[in-house]
Amino acid sequence: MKRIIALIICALAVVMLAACSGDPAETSDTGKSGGTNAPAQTNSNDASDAVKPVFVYNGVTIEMNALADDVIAALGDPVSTYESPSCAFQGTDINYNYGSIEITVYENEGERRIYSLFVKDDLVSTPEGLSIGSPESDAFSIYGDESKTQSGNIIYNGKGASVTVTFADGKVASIEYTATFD
Amino acid sequence: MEKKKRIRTAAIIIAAILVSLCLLDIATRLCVPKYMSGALDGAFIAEYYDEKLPHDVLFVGDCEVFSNISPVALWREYGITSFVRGSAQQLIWQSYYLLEEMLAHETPKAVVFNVLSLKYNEPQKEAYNRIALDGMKLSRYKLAAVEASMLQGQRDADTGEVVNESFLSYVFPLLRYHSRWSSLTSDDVKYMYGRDKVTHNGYYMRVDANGVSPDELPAVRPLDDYTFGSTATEYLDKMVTLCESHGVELILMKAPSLVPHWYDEYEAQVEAYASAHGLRYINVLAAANDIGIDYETDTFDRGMHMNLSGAEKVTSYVGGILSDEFGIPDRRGDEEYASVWAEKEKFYDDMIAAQQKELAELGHLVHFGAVG
Repeated sequence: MKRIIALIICALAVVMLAACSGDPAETSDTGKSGGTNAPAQTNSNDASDAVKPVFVYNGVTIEMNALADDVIAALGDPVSTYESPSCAFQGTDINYNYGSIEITVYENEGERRIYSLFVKDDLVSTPEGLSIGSPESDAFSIYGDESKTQSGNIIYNGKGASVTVTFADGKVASIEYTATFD
Repeated sequence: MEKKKRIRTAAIIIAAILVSLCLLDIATRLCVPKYMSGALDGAFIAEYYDEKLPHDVLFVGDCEVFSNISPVALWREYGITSFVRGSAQQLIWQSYYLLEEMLAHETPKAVVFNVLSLKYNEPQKEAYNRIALDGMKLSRYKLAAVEASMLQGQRDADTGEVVNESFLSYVFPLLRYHSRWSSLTSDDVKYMYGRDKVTHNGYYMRVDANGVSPDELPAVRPLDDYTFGSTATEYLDKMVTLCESHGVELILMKAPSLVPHWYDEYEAQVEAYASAHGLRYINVLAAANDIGIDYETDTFDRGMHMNLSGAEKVTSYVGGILSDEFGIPDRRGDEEYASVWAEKEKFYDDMIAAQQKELAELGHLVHFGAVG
């Protein structure tokens, strides 16, 4: 009899533990938090031979997903900041406006990391020489035709970051770097 | 003698199973998150089951409904009975199955769906799924919602981790939450068999203000593709069909918010859809100036969600349309409704007073979900 009861208890225990190994990330109530609402972009171009997209502003090299505090300190005082809570009131994205660029920093597991960089005007350019207003052809010569999206824009899937370039009237209208998770 | 022995054996087995099930139930109740302090949003969805009377209007959607529509204010001004079934970043298929579940129990005159979630075409984050789905009672609607929502090899929108959610863990939450045993708090014991009400028929109240002026907002970032995804559109089609089959008027709504940015390209698609399907579309974002929304004073988190002042303005505007254009009845003369809603009004007024008191004493809210 004891064996039967033990078997029942064991069976229940096995059922309980069955999914343990596959546990996904903890939910908000169990400690994980984050506020970046935009999903990481992925695209079809092959990242195997991709380079790591970086941006340099005022001599400071900015990499996506890098720890943010040193970068933010090196960039000096921003023109303004905007704290954006997540939809679920957990975690906060902070947007740092430096005039020509904006950087978004997210929090995850107690660490602040750089999520995105958005180029706002034509006073700055990427290390490859692309800026707002550059001809569309310049962008394709840098990122390749294989980065062209169905909408006719560019999403270059580099190591640890994607670069999205949109066009208007044959010229670069926006440039944005976004962290990806390879 | 042999028969007696067999009966005894069967009785012991049944008793052992029952005891095991009881222990499992207790362990589940103990370990699942309660959402009674800190972030409260995981407690919203289940509150619908406490309703005693049906509703003439059901609101479904994401945070843009639970922060922006106040059913108590709608009752006070128009006598309209309503419930808001929304949760953080609630995806359209979750809204659809929640609506399907509600329409199995009641037939409102109108359903209002907030359109922001149309921009998401796939599951985003397990935490948001849990907030929306854990509060649903086990039913075929919940199972369908889980099936549609689980991350299966997708990356978590925040962490980038590849996530494979387990269907069983939504049916047996202990599979998901058993590891919380080592970090249980007094709340986990206190709320094992019942939780406090934290919303007002689904409305999440905040009286504090943390405003924003338009020049403080981040730059609007152009997207590569603005087209709503096929899954999102498919569920909007299903929502139209579902409402038609129940004889319920479906209304689309865009709540006022500055963040996240609502692109003109999104707006054009919603307008075209509404026009093609003969649906009324209430764009409160466009009407924000006309109805007196001031983003300096009417939001508690810098333009994302309305506070009480903003929500009551939005509700007054939407209520006028519901009353005038759709003839939603005024139930204030019905004693049964009046009695039930009097209780809701008291809870509403008491919470306003409590939040204002805390705000006056501390300068900011620390309870009522004011975390972060």
